[in-house]
Amino acid sequence: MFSILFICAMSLFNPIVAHENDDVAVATVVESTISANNESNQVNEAPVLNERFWRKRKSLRFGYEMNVLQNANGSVYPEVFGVGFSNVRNFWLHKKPIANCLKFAFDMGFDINYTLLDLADDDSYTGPSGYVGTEPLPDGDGEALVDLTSIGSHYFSVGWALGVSVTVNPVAKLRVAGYAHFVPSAAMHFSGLSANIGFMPYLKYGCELSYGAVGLGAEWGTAKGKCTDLISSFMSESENSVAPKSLLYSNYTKLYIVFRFGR
Amino acid sequence: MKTCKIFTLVFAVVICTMTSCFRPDGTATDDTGNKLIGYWELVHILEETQRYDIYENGEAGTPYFNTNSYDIACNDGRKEWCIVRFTESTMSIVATDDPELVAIIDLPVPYTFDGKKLVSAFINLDFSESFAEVKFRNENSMEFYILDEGDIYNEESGKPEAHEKYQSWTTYRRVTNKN
Repeated sequence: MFSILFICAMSLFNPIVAHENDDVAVATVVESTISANNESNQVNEAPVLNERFWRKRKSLRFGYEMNVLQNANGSVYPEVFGVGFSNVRNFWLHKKPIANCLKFAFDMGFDINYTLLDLADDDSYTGPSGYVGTEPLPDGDGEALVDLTSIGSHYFSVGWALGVSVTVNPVAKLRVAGYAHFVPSAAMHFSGLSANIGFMPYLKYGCELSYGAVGLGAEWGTAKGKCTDLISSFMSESENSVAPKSLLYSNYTKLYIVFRFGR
Repeated sequence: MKTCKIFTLVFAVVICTMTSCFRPDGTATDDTGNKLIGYWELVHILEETQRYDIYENGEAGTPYFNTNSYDIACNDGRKEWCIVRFTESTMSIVATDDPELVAIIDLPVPYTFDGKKLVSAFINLDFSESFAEVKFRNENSMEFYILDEGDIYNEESGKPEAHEKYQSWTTYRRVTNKN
């Protein structure tokens, strides 16, 4: 009887047992806290995802371009292919999305386009061609250091895009966006003996559909500019010569793949 | 929030105005009827040069005139004969008897033609704006008129020492021997 009472007393005052009891109590509190946090996480998951979605503000666009280049009299320079690259960043104009899914932004970024042109189309001419003179050709058989005909004809434009865009997030990570950009660009139409350089103010508008970080889009652009032939003015013997200027029209459709980034 | 909305509205208006101001015409239209397209052989040149010296006191010296008019034929010793091809948007030298032009045979060079003025890298003047005025005499004959006029400056003093006016009328005949 005495021994039973002693054991009971020891068990009541044993510090180890008391600690174990404390641990159990703490564990119970932690577990209840974790479960409470999990519940709150599940509740807050949607806003976090939404926040991540709107954080993807940078976009890289790589596209295939069908560019119709025309001179002043409407003649089209035949195109082989065209490519375009742009790096545009959205600056949201308001913090909270309208109706929790729509935001307007100011866009800014650079824009580069290149088009390879094919100017040497053949036809069925059968008259005299090539060098038909009787004099011997100069050293090297008249071959130039650079074969000008092999250089081909190229069109470049580099600009800085400024504009507005609207982005809609209907469900999950789906993004539907539309934009209109004004792109003041420097353009060069290079072709063997001529290098026409000028200012081409592009007006570009497009739309894109993306999910997460990848998407597809289409863009249309139009510009008109006056170009100056630099090579002609360099070749001229007089400093007072006036370089010829010519009008150039550019209208293109671009299909592109877009990659979106953000912190 | 209110400021943000006002800013958005103002910005949208500014962008719309800006883009509408710079909106290009879209596409060019060819209302000139490009009669240049085809192959043309250079057949005649008429050229006229006028020149007079300018003295230090600003007075002009006695003018000097020189006029040349001659027909051009292949291998006539002048090395000016050529056949030029015009496509819708480019021109190129198809045949020549000048060995120095071998490197640019068949090199397509863009040109613009508004029905009167022809602008191309092949037309490269020393003083005046580089273009040729084109006159069609009939379907198979045309004339390029070139005017190049200006002062020649002394390299050391930087003052004009002479004045030169060069004009040329080159006649081309359409080559029809193609299939």
